[in-house]
Amino acid sequence: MNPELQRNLWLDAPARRLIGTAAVPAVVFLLVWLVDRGNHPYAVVIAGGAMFVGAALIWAPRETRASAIDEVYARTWDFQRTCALAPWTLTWGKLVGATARPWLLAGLSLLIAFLQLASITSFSHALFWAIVAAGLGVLMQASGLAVGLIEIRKSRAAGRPPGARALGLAILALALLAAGAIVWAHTHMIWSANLQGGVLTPGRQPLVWWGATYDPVRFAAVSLGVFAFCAVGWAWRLMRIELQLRNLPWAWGGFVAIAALYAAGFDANSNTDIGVLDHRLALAGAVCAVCAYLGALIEPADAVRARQFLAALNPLDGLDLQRLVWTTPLVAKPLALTFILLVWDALIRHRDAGAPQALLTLATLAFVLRDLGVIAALRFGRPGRGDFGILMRLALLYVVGALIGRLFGGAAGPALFIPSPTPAGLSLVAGGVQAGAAWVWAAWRIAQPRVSAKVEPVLRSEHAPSI
Amino acid sequence: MIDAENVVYDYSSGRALRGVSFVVRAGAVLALVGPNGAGKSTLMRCIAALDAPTEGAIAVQGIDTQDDPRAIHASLGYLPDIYGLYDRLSVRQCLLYAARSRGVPSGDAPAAAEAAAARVGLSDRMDSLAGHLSRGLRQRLGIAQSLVHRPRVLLLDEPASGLDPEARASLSELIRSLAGDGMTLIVSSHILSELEDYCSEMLMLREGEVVGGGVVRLDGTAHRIVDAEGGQAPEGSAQPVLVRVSFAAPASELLDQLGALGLSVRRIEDADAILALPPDPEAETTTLSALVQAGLPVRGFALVRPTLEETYRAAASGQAFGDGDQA
Repeated sequence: MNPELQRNLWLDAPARRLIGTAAVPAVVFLLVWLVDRGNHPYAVVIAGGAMFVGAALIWAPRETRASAIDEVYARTWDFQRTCALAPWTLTWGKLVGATARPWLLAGLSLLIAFLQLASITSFSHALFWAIVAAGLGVLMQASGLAVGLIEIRKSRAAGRPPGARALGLAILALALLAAGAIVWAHTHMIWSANLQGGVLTPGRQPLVWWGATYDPVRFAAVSLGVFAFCAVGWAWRLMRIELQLRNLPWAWGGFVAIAALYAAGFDANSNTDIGVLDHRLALAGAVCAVCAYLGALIEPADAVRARQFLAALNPLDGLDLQRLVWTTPLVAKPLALTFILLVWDALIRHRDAGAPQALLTLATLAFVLRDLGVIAALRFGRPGRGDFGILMRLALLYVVGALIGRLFGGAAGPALFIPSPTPAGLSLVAGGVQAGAAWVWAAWRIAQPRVSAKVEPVLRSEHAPSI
Repeated sequence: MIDAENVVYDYSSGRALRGVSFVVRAGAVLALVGPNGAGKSTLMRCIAALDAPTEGAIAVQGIDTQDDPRAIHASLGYLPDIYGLYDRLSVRQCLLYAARSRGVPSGDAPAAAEAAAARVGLSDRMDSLAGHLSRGLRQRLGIAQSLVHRPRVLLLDEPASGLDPEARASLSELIRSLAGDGMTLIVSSHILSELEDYCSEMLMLREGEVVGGGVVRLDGTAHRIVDAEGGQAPEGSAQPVLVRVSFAAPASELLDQLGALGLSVRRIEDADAILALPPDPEAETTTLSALVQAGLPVRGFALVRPTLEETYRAAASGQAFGDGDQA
C-alpha cells in the first residue's frame, strides 16, 4: 500500500471513526423517511445532495488542504519532503488518505441519492448527475491540496506560519464554482421545470463550440472531467516543487493557452453585433488576464528569485537563458498572451468599430498591467499580506478612483481610474502612466532587502531555515 | 563524501551563506559549529537538498543536490533542529512509515523498524504513542526515523538542544556507535562541549563564512587544517603538537633552561610546562631525550588535546592553539 495513504488511514480513518461517519447518512436518511414518508420524491435526493455538498465539496477540500498545512504545523513537513516517495505517490496518498471519511459520507449520500433519482427519472440522467458530482468533488479536493501547498510556499517566502483560515480555499472555491457556472451557462443548459411530473430536467439546446455542435450535457461532463484532471495535475506539480523538483517550464504557459482556446471556442451569440474573431479574442484575452492575476497572487513573493529573473534579463550581463527559463514568474506568460491577444483585438476593433473601441481595449490592457504592478508592489513590500486584502485594495482603487474622478473631473473623470470609453484615449494614457508608476514601485520593493525584526522568531518557529 | 563549492544562499533579508567551500571525508563526524545566525541550519538544509543554493554547488556521494534532489533525499537522513513526530501514531507505526516512505520494501520494513528502534534503545516502547514519549525519547525516535533506511550520511541539526545530561550522554553514545559503523555524520551545535566526545572534524561558520581556514581535523593528538580538497593543508598551516611536561619540582629558571634547548614554551604553571612541538612523532622523542640529557627532573610527558572550544577560539582568532598563552 502507498505509505502515505497508509499513514493517513492510521491517523484519520480508524474503524471506530469510519463506523461513526457511515452512521451519519443512515441517520439522516432515516429521519427524512420518518418525516416525509415518501410523499416528496426529491426529498431523499435533496438530502443526499446536501450531504454530498457538505462532505465532498466543503469537508474533503478542507481535509486535503490540512493534509499539507498540518504537516507544517506539526513540523513534520521537512521529514516528508526528504522521503523517497514519488511526487505522484505522495499526492494521491494525501488526496485519498486524507479524505477517506469525507468520501465515505459523500459516497453513501451520493449512492442513495443516485438510486432515488434513477427511480424517479432515468438511469442515464441519474448517472450523469453522479458523474458531475464526483467530478466536482475531485476538482475541489485536488484544489484544496493545491491551495495548501501554495500557502506553504507563500508562508515560507514570507517568513510566517501558514494561514490557519481557509480564506484562500474559499476564494479558490468561489472562483472554480464561478468558472463552472460560466461553462454551465455556455452549454445552454436551461432548467425547465415539469411541474406535473415533479421532474427537473436540463434543456437540450445544442452547443456550438469552434463551429461544431455538441450535446450540452456531454460537453459539460467532459469539461468538468478536464477541469478535475487539471486540478489534480496542478496539485501534483506543486508537490513536485515542494520536493525540490523542477517542473517543465512550458506547462503553465500551455495550460493558459489551452484555457484561452477553450474559452474562445464558444461561438458568439448571433443576437450581438460583435464579430466572431473579436469575440474569440476578447474571451481568450480575458481568460489569460484572469490567469495572470491568479499567477500574481499565488506565487510566493520571493525577492531573491525575482532579482535572479531581473539579473537574467539584464543584457549588460549577457542574457542567461537557462536561469531566465527557471526564474520566470508565473504572471509573465499569461500576461504576454493577454498583451498579444488584446493588441490583436484592438487592431480588429479599430478596423471594424473605429478607434475609440480599439483605445478602450488598450486601456483595459493598461489597467490590467497597473493592477499586476500594484499586486507585485504590495506583495513584495509585505509578503505576508493576505490575498483578500490585496484584492480589496484593488477594488477600492477602482471604486474610490472612479468616485473621485466623477466628483472632480465630471463625465470624463472616471476615465482616469477605470477603463472608460469616455474618452478612451484619456483612459489609455492614465492607465499607462499608472501602470508605469506601479511597476517602478514594485521594482523598488523587490530591490530593497527586506529586514524585519519580527521575521527571525517566526522563521525559527516554522520550517523556514533558522539562520 | 560531501563536497561544497562556493555555496551562496540568499534570503530576502540578506545573504546567509557567503561562498562556503569544504569537503567532508567518508566516515567523518563533522562538528558544524558557529554562533547563532552563522548559517549552520541553512547549510544543513542545502546539503539535505531542502533548499537550493543561490550560487555554487553541493554534492553528496557525487550527486549534485540540485541536479537530483530526490536521490539526495533517499540517500541521507536528516533531523532538523525543530522537528515533529506523528504524535497519534505509535513508535512502531512511525518507524514503519519512515521505512516505507524512504524506500525500504514493504517486506523488509518491520525488520528495519525493529532494528532502528533497537539502535536507539526504543525496542521496549514500540507500542507507545509518539506523543507520550519524553523529550529525550522523542529525540531518539527522530533519529531512528532518520536512519531507518540505513543512510550513508546523517545530518543532525542541534540534536542535543533541550536534552538533559543523561539524554545527552546517551545521544553521544549513539553518535559514536553510528560513526563506528562507518556512517558519515554532520552534527551542528553552538554548544561546543556537546560535540567534544564524538566529532572527528570541525567546520566553523561565522556570518555565513567559513572561518579557521576550512575543515579542522581533530585526530586526538593535534588539530590540523584540512583544505577544501580534503587533503592536508600546506606545511606552514599545520597546527603544532602540544605537550605537557611535568617536572619533579618547580624550577625558578625553567623558562630559560627550556629556551636554551630551543624549545617553544607556551605556558609554565608551577612544575608543569606546555611545549609546542612540530607535528611530527620524531619531535616528541627528540624533545624528551633532550630534556633528560639536560638533567631536568622530568616526571611526566603527555600530549595535550585541546578542547573543541579552545580549538574553535584559536581558529576563529586566526591563531594556533596555545598562542598567546605564553608565560
